[in-house]
Amino acid sequence: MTRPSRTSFVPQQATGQEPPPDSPLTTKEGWRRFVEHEPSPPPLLTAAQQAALSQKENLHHDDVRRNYHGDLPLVNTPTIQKVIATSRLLVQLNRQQISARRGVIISGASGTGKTTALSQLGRAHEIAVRKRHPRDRARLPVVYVTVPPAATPKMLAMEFARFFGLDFPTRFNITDVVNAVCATGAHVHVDLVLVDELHNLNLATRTGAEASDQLKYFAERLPATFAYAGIDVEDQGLFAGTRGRQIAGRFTVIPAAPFSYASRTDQEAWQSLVGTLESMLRLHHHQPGTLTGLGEYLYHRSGGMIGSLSQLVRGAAVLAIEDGSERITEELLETVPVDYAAERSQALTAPEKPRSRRRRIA
Amino acid sequence: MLLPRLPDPVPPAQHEIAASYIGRLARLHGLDINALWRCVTEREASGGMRRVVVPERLAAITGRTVHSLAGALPELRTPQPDWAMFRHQPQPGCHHCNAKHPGGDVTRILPHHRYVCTRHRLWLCPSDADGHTTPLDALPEIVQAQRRHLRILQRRGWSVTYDAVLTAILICGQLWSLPENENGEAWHDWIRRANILIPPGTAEATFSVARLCAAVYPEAVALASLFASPYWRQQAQRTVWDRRPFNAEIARRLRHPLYGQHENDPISHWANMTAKRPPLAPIRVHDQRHHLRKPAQRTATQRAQQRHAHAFNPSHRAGEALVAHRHLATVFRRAWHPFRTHTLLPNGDSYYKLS
Repeated sequence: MTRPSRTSFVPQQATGQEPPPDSPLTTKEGWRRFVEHEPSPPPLLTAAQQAALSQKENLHHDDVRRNYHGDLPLVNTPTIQKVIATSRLLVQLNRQQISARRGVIISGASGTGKTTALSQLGRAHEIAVRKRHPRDRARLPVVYVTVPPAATPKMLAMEFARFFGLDFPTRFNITDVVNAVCATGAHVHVDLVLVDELHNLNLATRTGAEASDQLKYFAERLPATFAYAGIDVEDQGLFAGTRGRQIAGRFTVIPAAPFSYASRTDQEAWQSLVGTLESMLRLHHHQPGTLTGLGEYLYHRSGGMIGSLSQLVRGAAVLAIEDGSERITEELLETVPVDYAAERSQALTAPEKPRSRRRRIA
Repeated sequence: MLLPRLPDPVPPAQHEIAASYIGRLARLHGLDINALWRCVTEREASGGMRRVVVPERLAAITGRTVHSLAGALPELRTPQPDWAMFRHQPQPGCHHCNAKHPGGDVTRILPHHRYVCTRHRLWLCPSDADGHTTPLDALPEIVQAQRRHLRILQRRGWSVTYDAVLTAILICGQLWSLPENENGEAWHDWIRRANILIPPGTAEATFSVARLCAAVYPEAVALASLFASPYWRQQAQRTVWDRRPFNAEIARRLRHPLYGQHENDPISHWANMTAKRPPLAPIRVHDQRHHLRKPAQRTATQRAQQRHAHAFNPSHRAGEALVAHRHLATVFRRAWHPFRTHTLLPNGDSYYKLS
């Protein structure tokens, strides 16, 4: 049995209880598991130590390393840093506000790491709060919900209730649900609400507009800072009309864009990102600096998307352990599949490879 | 059924009844009390309509172990506790202690020996279940008496202590009703305490039999330690002539130098009739089927209390209201069987006779 984390606020007796398998991030159990999860790097054995291991131990060691590379720690990208810094400042500023609290919207194209930034913001905030209140076990400082497709106000309220694990009889109306959510939120000291998939709110429809109003009502009732993330929310009409003007007046928009490779500074940022990822690898024969050398190739392959880059490196590391080469090369990276968007980006931006001359048969 | 854990699973209060705890959890989370009650209970095994709490389900929604829950909630204990040890009626308990438990009213099923909250100096006599709370800041001897009461409990067990303390309260009530010259020094203390607890002129608003019970409580506990002791019970069972050490001890504890000159007093009656009997069991025992009823005084009790309030005068037979109170019904029945009536002669003398 693993020892409970120091920051854990789960009672000692209850830590032995495994969270249910279907606990997504949008439940407090799933969120807690996400916050408490910290991948620890396995020790890298020397050749002599490796030779001393039995076959079974060797297989176990490889398995541990595969798991570690499959779940490589996340790199603190500039977007994540900016989101965390801005939002933590806003949480501080909103603490004494009785109304009209300020919030953050992370907006950008798909695959630019909006959800990652949002969840990392929540994780950073929750860890900070737990450090400040180590004895307050029932505190739930962060709520994470996603806007369901074609959301109605009640669906949205039920998403909040589902995060808390509150169950209602069917006769409960939306007022009862909202009251229960707000009462519970106040008791457990919620001070950061993360709302993902904001683009599912269609303000052109009546239910969408009502759901948006419901979200605003939650923002008024809950003494918390709201952080939204969605695909190109500026273009979705979120800031249009009377409602939009009010939202625009209260929210800071942080764009989530793919990395650029145009200027010298951008290239250095990218190289340092790749270097950080490389420093986390636990491969026996990998030469440090190999991935940094392949920086441009990795950029074109991933389209500057952090998610695609992470998939490339993690996939290559797992393959390197499986085939026993224990090093990442360009040939190995070629075999790792990436998403369609990154492939399209590569086709558009990557320079054409110099073809090797074929020797003609005379 | 996999039950999600509630976000704010506050701990139960000591001796809280399960319905009160579940109600608090529901109110804290804005849930429907009936829905949560159905979630953590199931129909009793006999097939009746009553629902019983399933400890595992309550543990699942609170994230606490069954063991820790059962430590606070007597109804969850397996095997079930000896319910005779607890009062038959739930009551709110100390409101200062309740203040740290969020979610609304806390209803507890307190054991018989809990008369005072020693931390907050509040009188918790069961007949204060109507919401009256009596601060004891001016009467530290009552708080000290509760500590002595707990020491008796530790040495003699709950049934002997229960019998001894109730008998002693009844006897103090009877002594308070006697003419002045037969009461000793303790009588003045009872009047002093009664005047503090029920200030003169405010009897209409402040009179309660529970407060009279508090007035005699220190002496009652002093007598109870005697009644609970096997040695002194043995001494009491001797003939009238050999009972001098027992009478001397009673005289010392009640500060009554003339005690022992009469043979018709309540203590002699106890020594003659009941000292050799086994301890009494409470007449009414906690019934889980009716534990959801809110503690409230009956109309007849309220009328009787109002009647006593009108006639209340601490220096004139104030103990009669105490003796007639239902809190002492268990020992009252035994003490007055065979029934003895108290007769007051015109010259001031009094005696008891078998009716």
